[in-house]
Amino acid sequence: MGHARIVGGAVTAAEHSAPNAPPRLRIEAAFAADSLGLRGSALGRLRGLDWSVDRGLHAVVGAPSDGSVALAMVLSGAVRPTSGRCLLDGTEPARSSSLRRRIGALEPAPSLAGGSVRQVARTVAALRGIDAGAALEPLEDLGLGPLLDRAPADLSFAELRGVELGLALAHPSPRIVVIYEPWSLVQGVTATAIHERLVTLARECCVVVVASTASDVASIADEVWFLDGGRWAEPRGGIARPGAGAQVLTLLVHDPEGNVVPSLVEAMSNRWPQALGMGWSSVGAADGGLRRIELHSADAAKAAILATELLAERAVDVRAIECRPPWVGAGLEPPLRSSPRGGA
Amino acid sequence: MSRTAGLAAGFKLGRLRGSFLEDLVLAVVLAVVAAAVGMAVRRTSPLGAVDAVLALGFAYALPAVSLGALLRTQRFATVSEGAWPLARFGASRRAVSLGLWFAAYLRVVRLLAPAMIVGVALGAVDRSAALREAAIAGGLVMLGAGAYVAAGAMGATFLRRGRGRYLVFVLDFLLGAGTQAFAFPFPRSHLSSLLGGPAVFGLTQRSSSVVLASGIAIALAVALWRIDD
Repeated sequence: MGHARIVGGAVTAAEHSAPNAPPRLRIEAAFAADSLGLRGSALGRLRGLDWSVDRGLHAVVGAPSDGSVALAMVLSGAVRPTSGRCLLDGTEPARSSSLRRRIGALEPAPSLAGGSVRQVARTVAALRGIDAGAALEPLEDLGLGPLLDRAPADLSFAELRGVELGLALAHPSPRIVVIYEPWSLVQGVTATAIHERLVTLARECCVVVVASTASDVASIADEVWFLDGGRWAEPRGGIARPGAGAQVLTLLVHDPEGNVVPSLVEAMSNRWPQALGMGWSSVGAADGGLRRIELHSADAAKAAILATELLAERAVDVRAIECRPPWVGAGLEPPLRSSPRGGA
Repeated sequence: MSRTAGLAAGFKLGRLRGSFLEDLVLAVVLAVVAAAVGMAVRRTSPLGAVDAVLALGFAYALPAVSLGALLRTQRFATVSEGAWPLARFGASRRAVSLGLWFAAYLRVVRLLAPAMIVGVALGAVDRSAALREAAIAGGLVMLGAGAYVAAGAMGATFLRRGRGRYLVFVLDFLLGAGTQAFAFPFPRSHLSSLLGGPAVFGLTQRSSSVVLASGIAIALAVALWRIDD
């Protein structure tokens, strides 16, 4: 696995495929919506997404509202783009059952059906054209043995996702593996096993891991892409668009003179180039010198640690710290002023 | 995996989505209601008992049970979504959907045929003809169930979340009661003709049977054409 590096909104692969070989997975101007919201409404949409990737482990970071669920469903063939195309080796997964046999997928919503997990695994093995024993063994190796004789209807949501993850990772010869949030709400498979299997699979095929935070995938991914509003986050002055697949850390700082906050934000952006954007504003005229700092990042935990360290170093008077998804309360706050790096 | 295997897997999935106990209870309830109607009407109007049972069964129970069975086997979702638990692993959506529809069809027949046979047998005045009439009623349930399941399956490929299936049943209820051109595409009108009602568009009963059978084939073909593999 090559070392990942940032260029704009994405981290590009250190390993490249043959220059003339067509990319294994190609998405062309795809518009698509998932149907996992209330009464089949969409949680998020893809809005003209273009993407070409080949073998390797590609991480996509984004919230469901940014289209991460829709992307996972398009890749697995559950949903066909309403406009544009998703092609895997030149064929659309949503239209080709033979292609879907070569896809391993952990989807946002479990959809296993059968008398028992063992029966499901046997059916899946028959569909994939492999021996039932050869399908069950990897599941036991991954730690799913205790769940094999239970009915899918009796499994918890996390156990169901564990079984689906096991079935996806146990595919003997996939063309693509699409995994949605492998480290979240998954029971029965250890994180180490997931990690090892993903890395092994990425050597042979295209592996796409869709996650809401970059911290889970940054260490193993060849490429990290950030979804923002159904498109890839575009770089702006070295820092991607604020809010791209990110969480927002908000600090309320007491700075009556207004000279502490700008230097603080500059120090933050210098110390943590992975930040997607940051900026500050005055809270109001009669605020007694309160300033609001917003830090957009894919990993709120790291952002909070960084901010706490800097605040402690500079003995800044902090009144409040809040972490929230970028869409909560969007548009209610006054506009932010740009940081010296131009991130906000 | 062959399409036959996909169809078999879909049929198995459709059966799993039903409940044997629930079906048994519902079949017994329907049979008891049909028997009660047959016997009650025979006391007041001996010659109208069989007609009353058939009218109740084919005008109301058959569409309602067909819609319920379709909703159950397709999980209140679109046809594609209903087939997705198997299609996601490489089964053909079309084959799985056919299996699901066949499971729904058998469920309707299993629930209604006994009720119709019991109701007609108990409502018939002429005991010698009762068995024959009950057999005809059973046969019409099989034909009618096929027509409604196929129409509902086709409807489910339209509108969001497969809501077109409701439209099909509502239109059948409203327009299928007539005998003119508007009624022609709907199973209700032809079933009514086969039960001794007015002819649809001047067609004979034999022609109505052919129209119903052809309608099943056309509706299934449209439904399969509308979904991705």
